[in-house]
Amino acid sequence: MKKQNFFRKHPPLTLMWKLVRAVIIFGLCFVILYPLIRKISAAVMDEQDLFDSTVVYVAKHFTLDNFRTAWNAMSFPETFRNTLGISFLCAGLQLCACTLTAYGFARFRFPLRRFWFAMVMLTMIVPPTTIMLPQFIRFRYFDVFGIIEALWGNPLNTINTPIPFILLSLTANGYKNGLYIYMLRQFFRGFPRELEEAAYVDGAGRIRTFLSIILPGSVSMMVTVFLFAFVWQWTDTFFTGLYMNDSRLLSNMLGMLSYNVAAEYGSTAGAMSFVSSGYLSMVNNAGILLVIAPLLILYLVLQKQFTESIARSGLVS
Amino acid sequence: MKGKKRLKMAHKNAIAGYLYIAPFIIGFLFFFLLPVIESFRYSLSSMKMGAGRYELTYIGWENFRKVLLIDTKFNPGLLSSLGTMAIQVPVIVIFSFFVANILNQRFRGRALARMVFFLPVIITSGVILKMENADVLLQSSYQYVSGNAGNEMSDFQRLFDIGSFLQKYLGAGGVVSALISMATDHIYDIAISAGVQILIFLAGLQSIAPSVYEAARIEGASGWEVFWKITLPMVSPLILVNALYSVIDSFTNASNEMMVMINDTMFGQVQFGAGSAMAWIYFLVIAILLAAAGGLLSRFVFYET
Repeated sequence: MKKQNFFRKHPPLTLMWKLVRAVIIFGLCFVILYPLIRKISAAVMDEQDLFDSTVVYVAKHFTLDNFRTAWNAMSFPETFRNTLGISFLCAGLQLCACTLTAYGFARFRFPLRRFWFAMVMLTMIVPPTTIMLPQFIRFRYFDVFGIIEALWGNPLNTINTPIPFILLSLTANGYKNGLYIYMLRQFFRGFPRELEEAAYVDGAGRIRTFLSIILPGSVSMMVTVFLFAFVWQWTDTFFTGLYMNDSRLLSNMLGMLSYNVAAEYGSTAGAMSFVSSGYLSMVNNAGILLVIAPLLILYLVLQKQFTESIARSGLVS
Repeated sequence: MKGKKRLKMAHKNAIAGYLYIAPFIIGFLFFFLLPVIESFRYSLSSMKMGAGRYELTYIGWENFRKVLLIDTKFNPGLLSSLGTMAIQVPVIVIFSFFVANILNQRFRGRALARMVFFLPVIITSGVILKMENADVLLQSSYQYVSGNAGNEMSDFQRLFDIGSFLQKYLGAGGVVSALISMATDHIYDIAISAGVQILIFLAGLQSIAPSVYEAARIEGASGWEVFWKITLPMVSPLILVNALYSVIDSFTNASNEMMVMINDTMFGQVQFGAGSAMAWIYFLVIAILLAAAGGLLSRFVFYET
């Protein structure tokens, strides 16, 4: 806006700036999109195209075999369902917990408020590796004040069940939840107080006001947080590797993909058979595309709310 | 009478506030604070996984001594990840501010450009990033765009080889040329790790009241002056936020060298005590660095009153 005003007085400069800007935007978009284009191009190639020096981007022998191989090796339908369930559950719970916490920080004055917010920041600063072992042990021998041990004789093993994820999400202590609390708190701080006060004057209680004024007004920001939580759970390897290592989840299966394909190939074609790294790489690319395709679709669907949340969040308050 | 009522109101507010943040407090105590304390205890002990449970034997600062004085990989690893961070963070912050300013202007295809710039947040995280780093075909394609291959340069790279251009015409060395050549060499890495920062800056830019710009224009300020005297001070709190966020993101990223090393020490070599000691030293270094960066940057931050 200010640049426009400045350049309105200097038309040649405007033109030049527009040109430079177009080049910058186009160039950066290219840099960001290039690996995606490369993945698609590699995923639809036949193996002989890799060794053909006349083939760079466009496959001569177009095939969907790589997708089929990756699909089968990842047991895609089942893995997809599991991942969808976990990601949806975690993102939903994290959204609820973080929204409540953020609203509490944004709107209420209570003793030690600054201290507790500092603690939210602390959960972001401490690297996950510092607490991963005690957390693992906590969930491996899960117990609530010895009640479970008293009832069943030994503590509960919650590893390879969704319980660790559910508990962490429910209590706003999941991956990057500090960031979500921060984003939502800033959003709520910029939310006009008059609306809430009007609701209070009209006799609505705190819960009613929260549900009927605050929530509908912050859909776009909540969609953004949900999107982040969903996506980062979907592709997470760190916590998934810790709590659900043996489960059929996309991030596990994708990491194991080339290993599984090579093992499968070896068992069918005999021990002397050789799988080229180029072939495995093509299958990997197909696998990556299978994993990110649902995310791309989700992003396209939620894109409007996502950009709206940027326009309306008012992070400077 | 009135004072008493207000007190009651404040009291009610305090209770309501605590109810709202209760989920976080519970999680913080059980899934954060307790593990932190336990992890500190592990770092002072030698730990063995027994048949049923683990056994701890107190050995004092032995683990810390081992990690800092005997381990040959820890100190160099820590230094190199500090070095990477020190170059990467300023570049990411400047890049994201620049991109946010561009994306905040009006032009045709803005919605599309915004979508592309936030795409890496969505599709380049966790396992995807890991796979990309390990993949043969993709690696060669990154070298094509980013140029960290070293030996042979493609035409494409030579076109963008700003590093050696700067060295030729500005002389070798210098912080600015180091930062710029780092930015051009790792443009892909920077673009994919700047998504959240761009988002935060963009939101900040859009929250500046248009009336401020209008007033400046009427007073006759040029675009250049408006940028330095209005835009920059108004978003300066976010520069602090983004710098700290970038530091945290770079340190706690699962692909960070130190994270991998700690993970490997704990689960690969099953040295829980040494791993915990490493994690603690790492955390303390981060904390000191964040405090220093925060203290330094907050002197330049302008808060609207």
